Amino acid sequence: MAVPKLSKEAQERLLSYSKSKKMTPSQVVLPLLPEPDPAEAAFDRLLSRKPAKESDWVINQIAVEAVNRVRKSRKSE
Amino acid sequence: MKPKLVLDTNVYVAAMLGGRGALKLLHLWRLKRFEVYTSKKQIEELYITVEKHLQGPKARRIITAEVPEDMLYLLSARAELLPVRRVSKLSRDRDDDWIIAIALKSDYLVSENTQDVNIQALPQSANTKMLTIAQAVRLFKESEPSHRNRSG
Repeated sequence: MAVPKLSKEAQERLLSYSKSKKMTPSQVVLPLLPEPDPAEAAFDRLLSRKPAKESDWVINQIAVEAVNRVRKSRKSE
Repeated sequence: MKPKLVLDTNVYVAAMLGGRGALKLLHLWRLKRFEVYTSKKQIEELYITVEKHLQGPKARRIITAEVPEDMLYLLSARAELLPVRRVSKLSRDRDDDWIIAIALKSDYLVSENTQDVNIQALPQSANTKMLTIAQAVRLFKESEPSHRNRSG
């Protein structure tokens, strides 16, 4: 995530404001930042994993067979 | 309007197993190149597939606990949940009819199971096209937003 840089003046204003409120600068700034989107975090985790060593064909066949087994077992119930 | 896609359950499983094509498709979903439709039945199917059929040592090494959690979360948070009404026989395997039923409301059905999930059986009025993962990646990778084309 990009970290915005504050100008010297803005840093000074933040410091004096946080001092006046008896808070640290992060305590002033953090509540103003939007909550991270949990879906974006889920995408991040899923997409940052190492891809499989096997070819796509092999992976896709494993996936198809696993899902087919569920569909077949549902049918036999 | 963004294209609407139904990704067969095998596409989500392939992404969880680290299939490159499926991961690329997941990335394109994140970039909002298309919208995804799903159903409660699919979420349940994905859960059962991981719980019952991907429990071998190798699969467990790849699919750690948070992987299905994240995938199921994405399905509930980023995909549109469609109700599945009773459908007449649509595919070669009756058990695949529900996925065809939600595919009827979408533009594309992406599946690696082209043998059983057969959209040839769709009514002629349906405009749903069937794609493999590789075809879908190619199609949505190329469909760049128009402003990019203008800037050269």
